[in-house]
Parts: sequence; C-alpha cells; structure tokens
Amino acid sequence: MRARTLFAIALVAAVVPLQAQRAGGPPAGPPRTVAPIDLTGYWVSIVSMDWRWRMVTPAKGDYAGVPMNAASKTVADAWDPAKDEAAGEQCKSYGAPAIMSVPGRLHITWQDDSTLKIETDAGQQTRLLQFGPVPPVKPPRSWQGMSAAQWQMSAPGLPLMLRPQERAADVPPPAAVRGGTLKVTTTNLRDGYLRKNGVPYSAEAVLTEYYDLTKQGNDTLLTVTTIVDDPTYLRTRRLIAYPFKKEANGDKWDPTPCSARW
Amino acid sequence: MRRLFSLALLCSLAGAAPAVAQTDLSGWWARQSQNDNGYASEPVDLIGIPVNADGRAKALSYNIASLSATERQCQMYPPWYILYGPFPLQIIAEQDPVTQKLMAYRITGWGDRGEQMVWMDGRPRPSPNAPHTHGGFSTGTWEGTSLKVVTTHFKMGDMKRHRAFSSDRATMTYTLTRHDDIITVTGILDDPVYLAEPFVLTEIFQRSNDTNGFPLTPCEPIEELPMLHENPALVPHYLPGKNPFINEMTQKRGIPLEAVLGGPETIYPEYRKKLKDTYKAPAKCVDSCGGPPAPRGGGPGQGGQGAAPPAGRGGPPPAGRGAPPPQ
Amino acid sequence: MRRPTTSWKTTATAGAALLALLSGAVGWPDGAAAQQQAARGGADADGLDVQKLRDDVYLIAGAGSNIVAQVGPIGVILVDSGTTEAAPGVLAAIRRLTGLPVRYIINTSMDRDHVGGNDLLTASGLSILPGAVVAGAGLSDSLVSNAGKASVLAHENVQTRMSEATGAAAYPFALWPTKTFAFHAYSMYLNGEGYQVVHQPAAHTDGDVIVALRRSDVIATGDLIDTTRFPMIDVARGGSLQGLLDALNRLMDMTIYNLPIQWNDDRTLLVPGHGRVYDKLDLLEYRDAITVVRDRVADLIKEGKNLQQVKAANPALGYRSEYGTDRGEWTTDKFVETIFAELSKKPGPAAARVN
Repeated sequence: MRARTLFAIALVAAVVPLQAQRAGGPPAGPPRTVAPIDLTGYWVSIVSMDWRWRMVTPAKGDYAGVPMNAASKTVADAWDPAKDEAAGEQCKSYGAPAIMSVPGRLHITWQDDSTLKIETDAGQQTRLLQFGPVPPVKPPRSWQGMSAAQWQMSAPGLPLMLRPQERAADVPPPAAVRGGTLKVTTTNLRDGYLRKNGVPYSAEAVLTEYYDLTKQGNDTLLTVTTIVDDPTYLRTRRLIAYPFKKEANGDKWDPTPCSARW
Repeated sequence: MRRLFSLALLCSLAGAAPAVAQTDLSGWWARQSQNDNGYASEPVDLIGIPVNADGRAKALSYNIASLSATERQCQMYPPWYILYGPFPLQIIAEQDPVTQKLMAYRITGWGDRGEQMVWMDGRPRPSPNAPHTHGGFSTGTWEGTSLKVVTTHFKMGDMKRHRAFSSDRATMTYTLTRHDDIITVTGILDDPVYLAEPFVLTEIFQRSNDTNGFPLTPCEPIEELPMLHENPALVPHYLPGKNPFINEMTQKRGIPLEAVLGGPETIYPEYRKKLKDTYKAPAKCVDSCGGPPAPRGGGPGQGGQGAAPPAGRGGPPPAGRGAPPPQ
Repeated sequence: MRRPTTSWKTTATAGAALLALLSGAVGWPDGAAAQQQAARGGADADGLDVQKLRDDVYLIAGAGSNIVAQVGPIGVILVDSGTTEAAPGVLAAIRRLTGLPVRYIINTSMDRDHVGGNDLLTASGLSILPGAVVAGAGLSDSLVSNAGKASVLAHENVQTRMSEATGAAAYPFALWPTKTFAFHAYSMYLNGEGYQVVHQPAAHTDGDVIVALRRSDVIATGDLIDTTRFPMIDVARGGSLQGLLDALNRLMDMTIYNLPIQWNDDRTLLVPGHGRVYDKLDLLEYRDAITVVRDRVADLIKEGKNLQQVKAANPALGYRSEYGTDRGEWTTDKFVETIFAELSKKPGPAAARVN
C-alpha cells in the first residue's frame, strides 16, 4: 500500500513539470502570469456573419446553417417562447454553446490567477474559465456549465521547415511575435438553444472553444472558434467562429436581461 | 489509493501547464460552411456588410447581365473568395531546396481561380503603379501560432457574390490559425472605396483526406448574352431607385430595408434597439430554411446538409438563360 | 461560364516559376535598397518610379504624367515626356536603363504634363533621319534631321493648338512636335517594335492618340484614361464625352484580356496618362463607370431636371471614391457639368443600357 501511495504521489508531482517539458515553452506558472495573449478588456460583437439569425429572432423553422438531425427538428418545431417564459427559462438561448453568437459585449477579467471571468451584457451571463485540475465534485448543471481552460503556446522556435527564408543578408528578419491560444472545454450544461428560435442543444453537449487574437492596424480582434459536439441533436459538429473587436473601455456596456423572444 | 491515482491522471489531462500549439498548415482542408458567408438568394443583400454610400450605390446599380462581358465572368473570385466561396483549401509549403526554410505557402484547391503564393521571405510589395492580378500579391508572417497574410494588388471583384463589390484599392488581411484538426481563418477586408470600415468574416476548414472533393477546374469565360457582344458599348445597370429586387429580402424575411442595405451601424449590438421596433418575424420560414435531410425514401428534403446553400444557388438566373428583369 | 471536365493542374507551371525565382531569372531587387524604395511607394530618389512592363518596355511614373520607354537596338522611343521640371530626372532614369540615345517621342496630346520634357529629351537624343541632303536641293541638313535631335510625333491638332496658344498659355517652340499627321493613323516599325499611332477625335481633346506597341502588347492611352480622376474632357480644346467613350470602346477592341485562364498573367497592358497600369477588366470598369454616370445624367435630363438638380442627385455616386476627386482643376462636379452640357445639346445614344 505504502509503495503504491508513494508511487501515486510521485506521479502527481511529476505530471506538472513533465507537461512543461513536453510544451518546451515557458515554465509552468500561474496561468495569469504565463498568459501568451491578453484577453482582458471589453469586446464588442461584429455581426457580419449570420446576421439574420443573430441580430433578429429568425422565423420559426429557419434552421439553415445548423447540422440538425430529425430529433432536433422535432424539438425546434415545437418552440414556444411563451412556454419558456412561463418556465423561467428565458435564458435558454444564452447558454455557453450560443452565448458568443448573441450580439453584445464581453468583459473579460481575471477573477484570480487561475480563473478567467467572461461577463456578457446581453443576457447578463457570467462564465468562469478554470485553469488547473477539474473539481472532483461537479456543481449542478447550468446555462454556462463548467469550463476547463488551457493555454496553447507557440513553441520557442519554429520547426526548420516552417522558418521563413531570409531574402537578403542586410534585411533583418521581423521580430518574432509571441502568441498562443486559449482552449476551453465546457460540459455540465443545461439543455438550451443554439438559436433563439428554438434550435436545441442537449445537456450532453460538449463545447470546445479557441480564443485567438489578431492585430489589424489600431484594432485588436478576438476570434472565438466554437465547436459543439452533440450527438443527441446534431448530425456533425457545429463549427463556427465569431469575431469581436476590442473597445477602449466599458462606456457602451449595456446590461440587458435574457429574453425568450428578442 | 484509486482516488489518488485518478487524481494524478486528471491532473495530466486537465492541462495544468500550457500545451504547444500546432503551426503546420500543410494539407487538404475542407470548408465547413456552417455560416451564411456564401449565402446568396435575394439579389439585394448587403446585411452585415459595412458599406459606405459608394458601395451601396454600386451594389444597387448592379445588373447581373453585366456578367455577359467575358472579362467580368470570373470577377467573383478575388482573394476574398476564400472567406465566402464553397471550395476547400490545399496548402503547400514551398521549401528552399538548399536551406529547407520556408519560401512561400502555396494556397490552392480553389475552383474558379488559381493559386495564391504567400511569400514568407520578406520581399517588398510591388509598386503602386504596377498592374494588378486576380490573385494579387501576398506576404506572410508568423504571429505567434497564426500565419498572417496580407494581400494587395488584386483586381476589383465581389465581396459578396453578385451583391457587394471590392475595389482595386482593397487590402485583405487574413490569419490562419490551426487548432488540432481545424483551421480558423479570420479575414479582414479593408477597402477605402466601398467600405466605411473593415469587413470581417471567419471561416473554418477541417482536415480532409478526400482529395476527390477538390475541384481544380478554372473559371473559363464564354459568350452568354448575345446583345452585349452585338453592341459592346452597352452597360447593363439599374438607374438609381429602379432596382426591382430591393424589397425582396424585406418581403421574405421581414428585415427592414435599412438593414438590408448594410452600413457600419447595422453590424453592432446597439442596432438591435432600432430593429426591435421595425422588425417583424415572418410567421414561418418559407425559403432556404435548412434543417435535416429528408429520410431515405421519404418526401422532399428541407435542405441539404443543414448548411447554408452554396454561393449562387437560388440566386437570379445567369444572364442569357431567361429574360432580363424589367426596369 | 463553362467548366472543363478535365482539371488543369498548375504544378508544373508553379514549379517552373519557383525554379525561375530560385535561379534569379526573376529580378529581385537588392534587399535594403528595395525596402527603402518600397517605403517611398516605389519612387526613386528623383521621385520617379520605373517599372519594367516587358523585356524592353518600361513605365516611368511620377514625371507629371506616365511615360512609356521602349529600349531597343537603335536607342529609346518614348511615349510622352512628362513635365519640364521632371525632365532631368527622366533623362537620368533612362540613362540607368541604357546608354543609347532617345530617338523618337510620340505625344498623346498637347497637355503640358505630357510634352514638357520634349526639349531636353530630344536635345539629349539623336535624330533617326540621315540629315544628309543632296547638294542643291534647297534644304539644309539641319532642317531635315531636326538639327540632329530626336523627333517628336503628334497629331496635327496638337501642333495647331500649341501654335494658337498665346500669352501665359503659349507653348515654347522647343516643345512643339516636329512631325505631325492629320488623319486617322500613323504607324511605323521603329526600334524593333511596331507602333500603331491612332487618332481619337474629340475625346479628351481633339489631338489625342492611342499608341499601341504591337509586339510588346502595351498601349499608351494618354489621358483617355486617368486613374486619379474622372477623365478630363477639355471642351475648349475640342474634347467631348461621346468622343471619349468612343475612344474607350476602341481601346476595348484593341485590348486582349488574360483569357481563358485568368490567373495566367499574359494580357495587354494599358498605360494611362496618370496612375497605375491597367488591363482590360480595369478598362471595362472605367468605361462602365463613365457610361453609367452618363446614363444617369441623361435620365435626369429626360425628367426635366436642371443642372443644379442633376448635381444634387449625385449621379456619380458609386464611383466617386474610385474615380472622382473634389480637388484640383477637374473635379467630379466639373465632370458632371460637362456631361450635362453635352447631353443637353443633343440626346445621348438610345438603348445605352440593358435592363
């Protein structure tokens, strides 16, 4: 028994530095400290895609773009916002798999060194992205579920085959830009809607997201790639990426409650 | 004990420490197209596009019969087509044969247009006086885990097929970021001629081994509407206020005309306050509604894969295959 | 459009291109110098941008107007000569291309920014004419050989306009053409190149010519195309909207686009009077823009609108940002006014649109 316990402890103690060695990147430290990109601040949706399903509540039966299955259509065809209101489920279309599609603003801050907090003004939702071990006891299912976060870093040196060829000896190569991605996996959801007109996702859905930054002139863009796996209601993965633009401050922050209709 | 062991395993899986992002973009990538980037049904459709007054006027004067000029028939495929076209990507790394370093990425696999060379070697851009090409001139740089590509010197074309147009002064910037088996492309089109602010679209491509799904056939112009060839000085266009399709999207989907005509105000959340008073959803969807495919042996399906219809499907008939719409 | 059933693989072409690059067959400018030139928007130290269009044909931009320079066995043939002020820089740029002399200049119109370099550049050059006259013929060698200087060809109306100008508008004699033609075209083989010089009546002016370099498939258009503003219609010097449109439609006939494979860059290149090098699709857009504005003005006139009402209706909307300007001597407003004046005199052509 003692030997096995010692072995287990050693395994736990070895995991973290082993991870760091495998990354080949900066040594593991508090996620806030080692963050390769700065996601904090205020971000506004740019609704240039899927406008007719996001800016307005689409007509009942408008399901284009979602890889629904027959079960999903049965549920969606029965959509009744009045029932959702009566059940106190106005927030059904503001769950984690859909919240990034809702036009609004994000406010991203560090709640502590290992927890990124995302607040939305549309629907007044809060998501906590936890770095580190998954808690052994799951909380009750919720619209925002449980999110496990992980930084994905760029390696300190690109593989030789991907290093750009220099053209001329007297032209210095551009400075390497440190970067990375935030990967978030969310489970433990309540069933909700991918679209406000009742296109459903189930409680067993798994949401995977990637958060990337792009600088363009004076603007910083955040792209949130969302992948919804839901064999209950989707034939294939739902894959879509939403762009946001960084704002200087929260002057336009406009909290509005959930709505089942608008 | 078992619990301790499980905890150790969970630690390794939970990613307490950062992981290495993948950067190799080479390979075949199939478009997922689960957004409406390529959607094109109603002839007047500028929703979500931050056009300026010139861009709007140009769009409203557009008559698809103008495609009968053979030189225009492939103008729908500028570099921006990567964001809204239906085709996949093939990305090939071109190595220097001596140093093995990366000289360029060749992005091909698009039907209707040729490949795009993304030069990674820091070469300068052509002169502002140089002639433009369909594919333009592209340079690439690594920004962290993303490849950032800047393309200039491309010809005028469509930024939304047959609906909105980009000029020869546009700059396209796009980043390709790999996440496991997918690539997210974020595209930014900056056009001082037709846009009030940059137009941002995204698309996702997934690793694919199905090379049979990659048509490499080029766009080949042919003669279509005879009258333009009999009188080459003819220019098909709609006079201001005379576009017969301007209300189609409003009638079909209840979207107010102001929103249909695009503009920077219409792409931000604040615009929903205006829409709340002016938008009335139709009782039900009647056209291009998507949904699951019909069961085998059953009745008519309600949509293809549930994805938005490919560009052009359901759009106005090509010139020559029906009478041009009345003025 | 038709899609062939067989795929057209570009690997061989791309591979050859890559090999050409690696072997230096495509000229890469020196690293640091190229970076600096790129930072200046392509201009050299004289503010000129020299672009190689074909093996022996160059664009010299930034001299007040675009100049086409063709370098061949006997020397340099120029289409236009820029401004007087830019001429020394132009000459220096030519010297960097070749030590051979300028032999001939072809002027596309009488505009000062196109003829200003005639004096310096011809004087630095060498006549193509023998300059040896039979004794007793009554002509001096100097007269026949243009005093040993390079010749200048233009349409007769150019010389007429230049000679009529007086006072502050007068043209120095040294800028005048030394050879003119009065009718439709004057074509010649010169310097290994076929020059088709075609008069376009009553267009930008009444003295415009299109200069097509047949072997190189480059066409110098003069100010029939000006990418920096709507084309100037110089009514005082015989220009007209309809003539300009006729000229653009003729250019459409003379120009070959890169069909059937549009990523193959072989095509006719058009060098406008100002701005970047065009091809046929650019020309089509340009011509269509002018035609659309014309059609809109015509429609407003038909509705009984006066000039102020026509201008208020903004008939150039959709094209103002691309082609128009509100600064300088030729604004978008002036363009609309000129169209209005011409169309008010007589109706535009019927069925100008397909709807």
